[in-house]
Amino acid sequence: MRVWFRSSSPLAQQRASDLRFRHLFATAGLSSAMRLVMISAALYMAEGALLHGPSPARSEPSRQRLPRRDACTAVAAAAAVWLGPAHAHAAEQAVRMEGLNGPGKSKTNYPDYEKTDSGLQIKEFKPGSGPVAKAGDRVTLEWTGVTVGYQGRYFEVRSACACQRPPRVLPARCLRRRRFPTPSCIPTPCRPFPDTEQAQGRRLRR
Amino acid sequence: MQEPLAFTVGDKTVVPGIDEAVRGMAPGGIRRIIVPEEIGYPKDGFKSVGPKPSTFSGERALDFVLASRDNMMDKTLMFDLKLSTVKAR
Repeated sequence: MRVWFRSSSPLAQQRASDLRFRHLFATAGLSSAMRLVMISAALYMAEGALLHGPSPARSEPSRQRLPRRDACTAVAAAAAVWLGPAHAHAAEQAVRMEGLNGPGKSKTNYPDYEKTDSGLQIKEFKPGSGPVAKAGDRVTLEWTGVTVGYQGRYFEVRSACACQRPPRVLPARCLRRRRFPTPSCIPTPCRPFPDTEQAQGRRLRR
Repeated sequence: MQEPLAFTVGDKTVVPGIDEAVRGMAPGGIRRIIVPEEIGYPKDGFKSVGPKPSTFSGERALDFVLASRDNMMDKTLMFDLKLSTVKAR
């Protein structure tokens, strides 16, 4: 089923990659009638995309296409509502957000993280060595912060100077403009957390 | 260049989530943590409680989410922490 979806059209592919859709199709107990509805909805959308194509007119409001898209969305939404609660992801929990007139976003419990009583989720990448930090100790940290719940912006990153391998000083001949820079003129990339186990494995394989 | 975040564990100068995550870490250790809103920054953002972003654009990016009124945005934050030093008192 997923293979068919993948080979149909870009729009259908996009729909198929949507988490809820993927989840729906992964569900074993999906009724055949529901499948038929979903297929017809996808075909309808694919046809609309093919007919109108990536022309400049696409951005203008089209009377023909909008009701069709609305209908497809409605069908998909109805399917999601109907099948959603029974097959909802076990690791997610709906949270009411007052600002949104609806159920709001869901709080995700990541399966590979350890969750503490306060709701904090921790994943240990590297254990470290030496005395363990406890209450009353003076500690210093390097840190990176991401607004992971909204748009995923980095509001703080460990500085580029924090990489183990300092950036190489390029020779003077590299300053000349070249269409294809020679390999020796390509600056070395800096990876965050170069001393994680993964990075160490990469270094050994080199 | 980022200045390292320095604090005494349990002195409430950093976000409760980070304070909790640091306990049990050893020097050189790396942890990634997901901090929900309840144990994240307080209402006044990073004014009273650290860590504060070192750049202005970082402050804007964080404040954009934290200062959203009526709880319109999911204020869950993710931190990567690397413990540099531990000094016992």
